[in-house]
Amino acid sequence: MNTSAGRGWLNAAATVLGIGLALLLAATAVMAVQAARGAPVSFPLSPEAAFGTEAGPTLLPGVELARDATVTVRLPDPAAAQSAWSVLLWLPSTLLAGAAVTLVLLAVVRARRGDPFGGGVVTIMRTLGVVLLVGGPLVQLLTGVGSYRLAGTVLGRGADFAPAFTLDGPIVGVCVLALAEVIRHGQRLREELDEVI
Amino acid sequence: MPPPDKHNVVVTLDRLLEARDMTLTELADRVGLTLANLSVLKNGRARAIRFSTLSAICEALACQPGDVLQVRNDA
Repeated sequence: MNTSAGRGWLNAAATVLGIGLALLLAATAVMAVQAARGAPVSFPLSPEAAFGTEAGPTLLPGVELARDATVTVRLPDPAAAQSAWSVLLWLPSTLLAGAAVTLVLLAVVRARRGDPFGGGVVTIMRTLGVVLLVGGPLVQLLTGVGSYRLAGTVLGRGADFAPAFTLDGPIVGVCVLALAEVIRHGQRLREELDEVI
Repeated sequence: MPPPDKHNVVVTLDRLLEARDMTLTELADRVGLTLANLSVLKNGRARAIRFSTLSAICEALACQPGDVLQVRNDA
């Protein structure tokens, strides 16, 4: 294998990840400042929550809203509490993405500088797996809390707490953990071969 | 299966080199191994030896594998 080509690819990956992380941090800072200044807040609501189960938007007979349709509520001048709850809609997922990109960047930098099969890379991959495994559902829970509390501030009758859990994070987390164990197994095999002359 | 690190194999490169008036560096050049790796083998710190390495050593020293490796019989 051409090692310089591999190193070049690692350099490119590190650069792209570094730029991506910087952009993510900048966007997070801008959004946090905007939330602190009381910028308009938008968030989705289900049609049932927005219009009630009996009332609804006026549609022609035979026409209905899709079950997964959402209505976007916009608060041009949110109260402080609404701004605070709205942060839960984007900050947890941004932090999770930032943590994942940081860990992948660390692994790439370690692989570029020295031994790609060193113990550090396995530790980083295991950490990434656990972060995605636990962080995915946690982010969905926190986003659900944010939506629930925000909906409660705009609906007179109160809102239902219904966080949307998906298996994306846990599935990717398990896959990363499995890959970490594959690399660890490769390390053990190589340690054996190191003393073969 | 015996434990992987426990063995009674002795590498007798020292004796062979002395008998042929050859240095370890010279052997390393002929065999195509680094001096460090050949030194690991000579000092009995290698865990295993490839057939290709053994063949090259035997060819360079004009000997048989049994001349390079011996099993020590501990009572």
